[in-house]
Amino acid sequence: MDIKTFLVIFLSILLSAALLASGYLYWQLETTPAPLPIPAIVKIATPTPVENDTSIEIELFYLTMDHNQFVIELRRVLQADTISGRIRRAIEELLNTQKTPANLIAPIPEGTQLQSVIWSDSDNCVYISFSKELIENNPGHALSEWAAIYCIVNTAAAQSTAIEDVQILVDGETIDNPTLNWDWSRPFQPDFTFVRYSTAQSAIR
Amino acid sequence: MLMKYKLYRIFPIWLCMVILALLNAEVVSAREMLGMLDNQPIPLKTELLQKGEYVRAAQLVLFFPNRWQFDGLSGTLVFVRRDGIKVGLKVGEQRVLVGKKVIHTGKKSIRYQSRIYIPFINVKQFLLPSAQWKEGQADPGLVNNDPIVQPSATPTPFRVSQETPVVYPQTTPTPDIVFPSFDELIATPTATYEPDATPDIYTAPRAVIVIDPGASKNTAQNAVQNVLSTSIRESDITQKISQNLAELILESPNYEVLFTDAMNDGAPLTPEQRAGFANQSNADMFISIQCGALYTDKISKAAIFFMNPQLDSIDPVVREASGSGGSSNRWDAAYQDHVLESLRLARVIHFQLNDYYSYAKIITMDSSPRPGRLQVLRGLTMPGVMIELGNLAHHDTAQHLSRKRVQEEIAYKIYLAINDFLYERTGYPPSQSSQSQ
Repeated sequence: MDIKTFLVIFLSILLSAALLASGYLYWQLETTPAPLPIPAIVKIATPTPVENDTSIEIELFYLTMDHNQFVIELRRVLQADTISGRIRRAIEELLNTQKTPANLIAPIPEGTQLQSVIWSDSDNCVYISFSKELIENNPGHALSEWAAIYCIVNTAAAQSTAIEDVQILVDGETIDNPTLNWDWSRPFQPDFTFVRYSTAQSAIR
Repeated sequence: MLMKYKLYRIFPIWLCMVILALLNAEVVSAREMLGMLDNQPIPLKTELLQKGEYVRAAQLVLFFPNRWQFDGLSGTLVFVRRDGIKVGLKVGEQRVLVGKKVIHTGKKSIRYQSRIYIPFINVKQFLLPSAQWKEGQADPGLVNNDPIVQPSATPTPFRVSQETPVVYPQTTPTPDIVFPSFDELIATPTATYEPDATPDIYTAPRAVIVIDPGASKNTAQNAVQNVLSTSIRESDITQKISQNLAELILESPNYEVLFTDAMNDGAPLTPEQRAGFANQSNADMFISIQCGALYTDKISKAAIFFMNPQLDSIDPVVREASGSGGSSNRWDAAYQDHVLESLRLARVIHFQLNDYYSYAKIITMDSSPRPGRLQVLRGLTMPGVMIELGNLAHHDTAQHLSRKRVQEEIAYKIYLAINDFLYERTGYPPSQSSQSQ
C-alpha cells in the first residue's frame, strides 16, 4: 500500500468519525424530550349514589405534571353539616397521597397534617391550620409555593360560595417566615386563572 | 487526479456530507398566500420559522376588525369568527379552543422576536375555515376596496399591542436654494473639525441596580437541600450568576450595582430589610435571582414573578382606615405604583431567558411572567422582579446551571434585558443600547 492510498483511507476514516460525531451531536440537539402526559379529560371516578346515600361530591384541585395549571377532580366524601366540616373533608382528601390521580400532583409537602379548620362568617374567611411540615418541607421554588397555596385556597373556596378569603396557618399561628418566597402572612383570595376546566365543567361555570 | 489518488473511494463520505448538510439546512423563505372569503381577498405573508409555516398575528387581526382580543400577560389571543364562534390560541400551546371544543393541533403558536406567530395550518383550519387559499399576491385594486382589510382607526380599549407604532417623519417644504456669491464664499472661513469634549458614552442612562442573590450561604433556606438529589446548592448558582451580572453591568460607568447580601456583615436579611435597603439606596431596579426545587425531579421550569395587587390582600382594618381598598402611601403597598414597569421588566427578562433556554432545551420557561405576592418585592418603590432559574431537584438542570459558561450566558441575557429596559425607559430605542455602550 503506497503512502497516498494510506493517507486517503486514513483521512476517510477520520472524516467518517467526524461526521458520525457531528451527526450524533445534531441528533442530540434536535431531539426533544417526550411531552409530559397531560390528561385530556379528568376521569371522574365517583361511585353511583345509592338510595339514602349520605355522601356529597366535592371539588379538589390538583397540579398538572408540567406545573402549569390546576385540574379539578371530583370525589365523593361523607356529607358534612358545616362549611368547616366540608372543607376538612376536602383537605383531608387532598392530603391523602394514596388517592392522588396518576399524572397529577398534590402540591402539599410530604408529612403535612391538617390540624384545624375554622370558619368565620363575620369576615367570610376560613382559617386552616397545618403542621409545620407545610413550610419546612417546601422545596423552595416560587412555583412550588404558588401551587401549594392555590391548591389549598381553591379547594377550600370551592366548598362554599360564602368563602371569600382563606388564611393558611401553621400550628395555629400566622406564617411569618423570611425563607419563603411568597407572602403567606395574609389571607388569600381564590384564584381560578390557572385552572383548566373540561368542556362540561366550563359549561357549568 | 480522481483516479490517480483514488479519491473515488471517499465518494460515500461526500454523499453523507451532502445529506447531512441538507438535513441541517434551515430553509428560510416566505410565501405570499391569498385567501378568498365571500369574494373578499385575504392576503397573508407566511414565514418559515422553527420548521413550520407561520403567520404573524398582527397581520391576521386586520381581518377581524373589533373581533379580536389579546391578553399580553398570558399570551392568549381570542378571535371571533364571522359565524360567531370564538377561537382561542395561546403562545406555547398546541391546543386551540374552538367554541367549546379543545383541539390538539400538533403545532403551537410561538413568540419570535417579540412578535406572536400562529401556525398557518391553524389559521386555515380554525380561524378562516371557509376561505379558499392559493399561492400568490392579491390584486391591489381589490385589496384597497375591501372594507375588512382596513384596520379601524380607533382601537378598542381592551387591545394590547406589542408593536411599536410607526412614526412617519413630517415633511417640511424645501426652501428655495439661493447660491451665495463668489465674494461671500471667499469671506466665509472654512469650518475646522473639533471633537466633542464629552464622548457619546455618557449618554447612557444612569441607574442603580440592586441584585438580590437569593439564598445566601447562611440562610435557613438551604434546608431545602434535604429534598435535592444533587449536592449543588442554590447559593452556589445564584451567587455566581449575580457576580457575573454585576461585572457586566459595571462595564458601563453609568451603572451602579448593589448587593443585598453585602449588608449586615453577611448575616441574612429579612425580605423587608432587603426591600428597605433597595429603597434607601434610591435604586432604579430590583432583581432577585433564585433557584429552588419543584415537587418533581422529572421536569425543570423557570419562571419570572412580579407583584400583582389583585393577588394581594390588605388588612380589612387598614383598608377601612385608609378609605379605599388600600393606598400606595402604606409601605407594603408601595410596589403598586410600579406594577406596570415591573411587568415590562419581567417581560424583557422573560424574552431574553426564553431565547437562551429554548436553545439549551433543558429548562422550560414559563409561558409568560407570572403575577405573584412575594415577600421581597412587597415594599419596593421601584420596578422589581424575581427570577426562578430552574428546578434544582432536576439532575440535568443542576449540572447545567453549575457550569461556568452557562452561568455567564444567563448573566449576559439578564444584562441585555436590564439594558434594554433602562434604555427603553429613558426613551432610547433598545437597539441603540449596544452602540452607546
